[in-house]
Amino acid sequence: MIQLIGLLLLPAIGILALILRAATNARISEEKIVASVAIATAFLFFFGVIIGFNGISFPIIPSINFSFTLGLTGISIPFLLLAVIMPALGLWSAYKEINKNKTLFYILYMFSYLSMIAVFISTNLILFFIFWETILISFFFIIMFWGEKEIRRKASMKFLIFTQFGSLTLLGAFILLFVYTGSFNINVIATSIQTIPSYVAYVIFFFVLITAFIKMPIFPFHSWLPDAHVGAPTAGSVLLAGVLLKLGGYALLLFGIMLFPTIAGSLQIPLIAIAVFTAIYSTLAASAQKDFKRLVAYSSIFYMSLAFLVIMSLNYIGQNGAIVLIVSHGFIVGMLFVLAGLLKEKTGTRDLDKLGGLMLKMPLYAFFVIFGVLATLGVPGLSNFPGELLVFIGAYAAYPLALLSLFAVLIATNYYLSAVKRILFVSVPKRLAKIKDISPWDAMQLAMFSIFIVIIGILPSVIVNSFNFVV
Amino acid sequence: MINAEYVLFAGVLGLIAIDLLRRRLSVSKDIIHWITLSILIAAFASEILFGNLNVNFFASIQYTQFINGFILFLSLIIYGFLFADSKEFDTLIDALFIFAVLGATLVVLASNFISLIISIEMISIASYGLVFFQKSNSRMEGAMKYVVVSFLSVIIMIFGVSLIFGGAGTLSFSSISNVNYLPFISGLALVIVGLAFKSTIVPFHMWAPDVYEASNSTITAFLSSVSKAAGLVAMMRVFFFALPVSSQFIEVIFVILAVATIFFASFLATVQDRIKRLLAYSSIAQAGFAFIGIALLNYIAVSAAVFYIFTFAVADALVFLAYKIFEDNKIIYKNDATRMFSTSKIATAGLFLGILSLAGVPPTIGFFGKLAIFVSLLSKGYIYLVLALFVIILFSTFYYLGLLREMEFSSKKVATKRNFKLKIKEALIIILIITLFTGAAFAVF
Repeated sequence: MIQLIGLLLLPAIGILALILRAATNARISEEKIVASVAIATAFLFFFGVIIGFNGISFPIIPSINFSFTLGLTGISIPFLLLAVIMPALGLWSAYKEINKNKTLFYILYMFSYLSMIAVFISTNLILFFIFWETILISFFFIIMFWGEKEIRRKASMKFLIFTQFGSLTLLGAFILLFVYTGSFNINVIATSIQTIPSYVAYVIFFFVLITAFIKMPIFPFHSWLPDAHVGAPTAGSVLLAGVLLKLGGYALLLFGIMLFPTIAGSLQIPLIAIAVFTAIYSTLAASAQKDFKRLVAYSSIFYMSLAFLVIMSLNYIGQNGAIVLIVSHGFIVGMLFVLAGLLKEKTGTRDLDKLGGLMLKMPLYAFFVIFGVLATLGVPGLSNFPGELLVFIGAYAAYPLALLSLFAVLIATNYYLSAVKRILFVSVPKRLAKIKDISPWDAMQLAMFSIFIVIIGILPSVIVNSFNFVV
Repeated sequence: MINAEYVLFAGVLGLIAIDLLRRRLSVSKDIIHWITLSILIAAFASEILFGNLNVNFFASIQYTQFINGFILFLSLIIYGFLFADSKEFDTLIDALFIFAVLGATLVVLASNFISLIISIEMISIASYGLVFFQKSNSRMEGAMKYVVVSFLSVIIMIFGVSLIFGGAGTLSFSSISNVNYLPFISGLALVIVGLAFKSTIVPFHMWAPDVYEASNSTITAFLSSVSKAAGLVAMMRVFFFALPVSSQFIEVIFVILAVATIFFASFLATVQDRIKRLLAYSSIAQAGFAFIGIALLNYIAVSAAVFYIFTFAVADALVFLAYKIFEDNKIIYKNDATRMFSTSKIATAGLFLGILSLAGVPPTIGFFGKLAIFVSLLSKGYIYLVLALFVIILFSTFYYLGLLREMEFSSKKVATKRNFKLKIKEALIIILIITLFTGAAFAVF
């Protein structure tokens, strides 16, 4: 058995090493420390998945039931996969992009790495909230200090204001759970959920719902996401889309659906309607974007709205589909953001109007663009296909009209293919006559994403078997 | 029993005596400063060892050792900072400082309206001197404002106390039981006003930003942490331990006052240009949060308030002390925050973490304090109020992090001369930072 605390100790050692490095001016570079920590953590994680994890618990402040309790919830493993892998995959982008204040950046990066892992394995709600909040604050500073010059101030503030409100409502839900069940431990709460009066249960569900709406994000709280993505550096975007958005889904599943299935059932139809509307709205908005990164950001709203839709379908197939979709979307959208970052790095712009003909100039890059777009459109054999299939089966079973969201898939196909056309085909602008293809290392990074996409596409059971969801 | 209060009292008398004979005995100022420091250390130690005094007009209750402990701890840190900052200050400051600390510890213990007023006046009178004798540009204005407002508040309070005596026939907290309601309640309202002046509750907060800005930042740290904590604790004693009636009506009025305090202070803080004024308004908002705990008037809420007072006192002391280092290097406006990191790394970290704690970001104690307040609010069923507070906290996050984002963390050469003085000050800031993370162990509710 692997101790879960090992997954936290390794990044903590990394942070210490980074601080020591800065203090002693050691020769080793920051990236090497982060990379070795990330690889070690990933190995430990895979090892643990095979031979099993062991929780830990010791009290910190007994009077408020705050204890350091680590343990797996039923749905931890697939999310943990994203949290462990994503920062490692985004590291190469960070290496190329971050030039100033490297030490501070990597310390924040490691802090968010640590907290992302910790959020998915902490079963004490205070502990959960501490790590949840640490992620937000680290991301605020990552966007603020290393983001894109023009919009980083606005983007970081918008990010903070929206998501901070989301975490405050989550805190409100936690406190209400504590007040009525007397415990911050998720397992204790789950057993004594009947003691909560029904109107309080509605309030808690409503609070969690607001959090999920903001974090996933769902209309009308989505407007921070495109700005935050465009403002963030590429490595930040990868984590933002790959892990942060998933936190909303995780919280909704854990504290909304699993604790209060009946309330979710009574609000099912309006919530499905909102999800369908968000799907169509976000794809229409994506169609109008000229900036490739912003387009990907809007399309990630679309996929998260599909996940929300099917979480709300409240049936077994749908819940499986939601988690498969969430995990596969993490890898795909991470890949697309890396591609957008490479576009900016090689051509100097992400504006689709100023691009064209890269198929001839950058064949390797073109291969990965087409691969990523096909994956995101749900081509069989790649990871989004099983997810989307289960999503639509589950949605149909719950409420047939939810299939209206298929129109959104249609629109998504349209804008992605037209983006591919405008980037890779048409004629080459004069400005881009001399550009070179991506380096082998870039290709390696993209290939790593592709491997996960293919594995999940061919063997979705890897994900489906890793969790156990009880409605 | 050698209680901390005896140590402080003996210390004040001894300091005045030595000061009178200073020329004749040719004792240098330094020695008096060292004596002051050792008095504070001795007081802190005896507080931990022996607890509080328990005599006629002063009684210790459940929380008083904790409160007096952190008051003495913070006073020690602040005096250490003052000492490290410059050894040139007048010896009068030493006696005044000890006198103010003595007042603050006695406020916590007061079990009678007369002793309460006398202790509060001890803080006030010493504080006029502290504000005035420290060198700053507009100290005269600040000190005058402070004097006028304090006199006004104490006059109101004395009038209130006389009405209370008329209504209850006694001034001892423990023996108020059968009261004649009209004079009692109106007297109590006047006492609220008087104490609200001290602890900067809206609408009696106007003096605070001006006075805080006019005085030396080290003294501001004292005023906004120790002195304000004492005022809030006095309120807690009066309303939780002395009030024979706890009605829904009083609770609602108090909650409205508290929320108004948080709202106005947060709103005004967003439009401030100068860092110190922003911190001053934020410290008013913090008092509002603590006042919520007092307003709810039940056991959980009062424990939450005690803990919250501790958290914001530590964080306020930290930010103002850290700001003192920047103020000396002419960092006054928000835009100047870019120079902070090159002035002092540790002070920047102190300001940064202190502000995060004031904003309530985990895992600092500020988060646990807010958690305690929210638990007490929700267990009384104030769900809408909590939602409104969320919005205000967002507001405050906006200006707190708006200040933090101006900082620039580049590894440029440190511009200031690093000397022993600065190192001592940074060491004191590090102690407060450690408290900021370990203080959660004192959370009791």
